[in-house]
Amino acid sequence: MSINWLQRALPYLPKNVLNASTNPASGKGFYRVVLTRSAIGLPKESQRTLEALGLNKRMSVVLHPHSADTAGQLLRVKELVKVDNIYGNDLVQGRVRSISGPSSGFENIGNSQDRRRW
Amino acid sequence: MFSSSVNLGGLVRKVPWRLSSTRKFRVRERLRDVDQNIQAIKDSGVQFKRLDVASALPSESAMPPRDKYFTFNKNSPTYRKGVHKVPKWTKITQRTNPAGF
Repeated sequence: MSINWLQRALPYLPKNVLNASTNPASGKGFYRVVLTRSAIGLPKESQRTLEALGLNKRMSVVLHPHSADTAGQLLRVKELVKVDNIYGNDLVQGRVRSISGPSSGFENIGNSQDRRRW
Repeated sequence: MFSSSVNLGGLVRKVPWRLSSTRKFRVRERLRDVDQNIQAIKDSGVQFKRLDVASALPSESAMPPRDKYFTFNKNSPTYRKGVHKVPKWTKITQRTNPAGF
């Protein structure tokens, strides 16, 4: 595994990886967690667990470094999320280009009001 | 909300006795998703007791249909009811039943 894999991968990663990079776990990867079902109607604990994981909307994606603490949180909401493991090599070698999935094909080039010519 | 009979002018909540094949397909999908999540967490190399408990759950392929689509109910003569009668049944794990049932 490249030493600077995290540095090189950073442009592709959401902001919370910066917190992980201050505490690099060598040889360990990340959980990529997608919220697929909301916790509406479930006990407050489930809703708060999602909040603690940083999942506020359906289809939101977060990365968390591998740890037993995070794994326990994920187990609590295992019916609501999709969990993948991502390793540094996946990022460096381009197997995972984008954490949040493939691009939509559209790019925001600005506000229509800013581009008005009259 | 309670249901009451039509000839009493009430509302009948039409929860079917058994799941349709499409709904059963979705049940299996959800079970597999949970299996994959547990496997992913195991693959990450962490170890703790709750993970052992979760790993000990029967996987979707190992579960008999009787457990996938039905669950224990002490009030029914067969001690079973449709799993879709459990509140929030698509968002909870309900795989094991009391020993002997």
